[in-house]
Amino acid sequence: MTIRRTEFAATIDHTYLKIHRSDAEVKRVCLEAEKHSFASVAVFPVAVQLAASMLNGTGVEVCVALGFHLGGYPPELKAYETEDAISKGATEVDLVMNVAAAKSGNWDLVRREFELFRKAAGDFVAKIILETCLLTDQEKTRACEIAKETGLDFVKTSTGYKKGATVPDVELMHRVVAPDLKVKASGGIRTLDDALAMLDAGASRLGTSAGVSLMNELDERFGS
Amino acid sequence: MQNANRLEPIQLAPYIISSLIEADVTEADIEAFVNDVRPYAFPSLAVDLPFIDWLGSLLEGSGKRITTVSSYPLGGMTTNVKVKQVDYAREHGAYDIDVSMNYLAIKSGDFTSVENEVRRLVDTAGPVKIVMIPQVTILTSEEKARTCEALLKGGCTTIKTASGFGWKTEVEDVVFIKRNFGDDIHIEVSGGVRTYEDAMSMLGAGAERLHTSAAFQVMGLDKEFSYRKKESS
Repeated sequence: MTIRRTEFAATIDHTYLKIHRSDAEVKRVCLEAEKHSFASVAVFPVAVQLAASMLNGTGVEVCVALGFHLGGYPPELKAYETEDAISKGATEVDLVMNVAAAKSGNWDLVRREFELFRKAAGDFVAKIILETCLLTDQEKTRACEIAKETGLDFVKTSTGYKKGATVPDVELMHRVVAPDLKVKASGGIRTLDDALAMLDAGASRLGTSAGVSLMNELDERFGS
Repeated sequence: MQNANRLEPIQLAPYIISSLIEADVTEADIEAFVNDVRPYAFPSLAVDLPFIDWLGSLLEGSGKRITTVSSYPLGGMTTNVKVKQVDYAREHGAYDIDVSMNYLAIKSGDFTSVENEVRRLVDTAGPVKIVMIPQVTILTSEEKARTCEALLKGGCTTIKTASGFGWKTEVEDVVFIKRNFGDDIHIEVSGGVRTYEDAMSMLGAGAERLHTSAAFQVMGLDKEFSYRKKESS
């Protein structure tokens, strides 16, 4: 599989979701994203204002990671968190779903969470994180169907704090949600082969902290 | 803690906050957990926010308290969101709330923000106890000291050293805080308390409470938590 440099860069959510170590680190990640024209920088809410000020006018989106990484609090609070992040400058929102609700078969709660999330995100990009490694295929499918019915923009595989994306999971999610929604693969994408396999399986976006080394690898393989 | 060297393993229970906090925990798991720990003198059980109503109903009449968490375990949430979570926890009957701090502010040397956040949370909590988590594992000695100062200025007098999930507390961390802040700060230890010896060294160094998901192991009991039937990754 060959891919153009700019197209590849535009799939990457340049991700910094370790415990945030300092403003300097956040700035570094933003400068890297601007240099490579990545799709977005993904940070925790505490870093959104700084990232937004750094990325203003660059064309790189400000992606905020909400609910990390356990996802276990009520939908109203998640909606509030979404609005709070957007008011601080986030333009894309990645939210961890209530995995416990799915595991308990409480799909009404999952639906309400997705609905409130959609409403709170407004016209901004709303991505729901399923944490696929904790779900059965049936639960993944159901969550994807609800994401589709509630009009979210992306279903995303993983937080990166547990097992990451797998090709079969991305394929399953793509099968259920395409073409209405897109799929973001995240967690464990370290090499160009990992990345290309995810794109091949149907992912449109890649959540990874290895964006810069992926670009280097791409240049080595295909020439810059 | 006084006379820590006289405690038998089973006598550790009153010092232990037994916790069950994971992404895929269900109400059935919480119920199994409560049944497991009910016979023991744990003063408090810790669960994630959505389960405090359920835990409350299971604990009715037991005398045990509810501990919950905010911005946990990564500390990435804004003060506004933490305030909402603390509000929710207070309204739903939590006794105390363990709040992960703004590590970005700490690491960037912005202790005014840290202090202001703590003050807002303490004000919001009212009678509910705010326990801040400085995550000592990732801090330098200077950062530990300045964080504790900011906590005290903001009105918080109890810390939980770390959030677990791989972030360990060393005995030296407890000793350091005790040496610098004496009795002004009450210390709860979390992260790495897996055995009786771990527990005794932490208590001996001045910790007052121990958070662990391995309470039975720490008390030398040959007993497994029944919710551990499923393995999450």
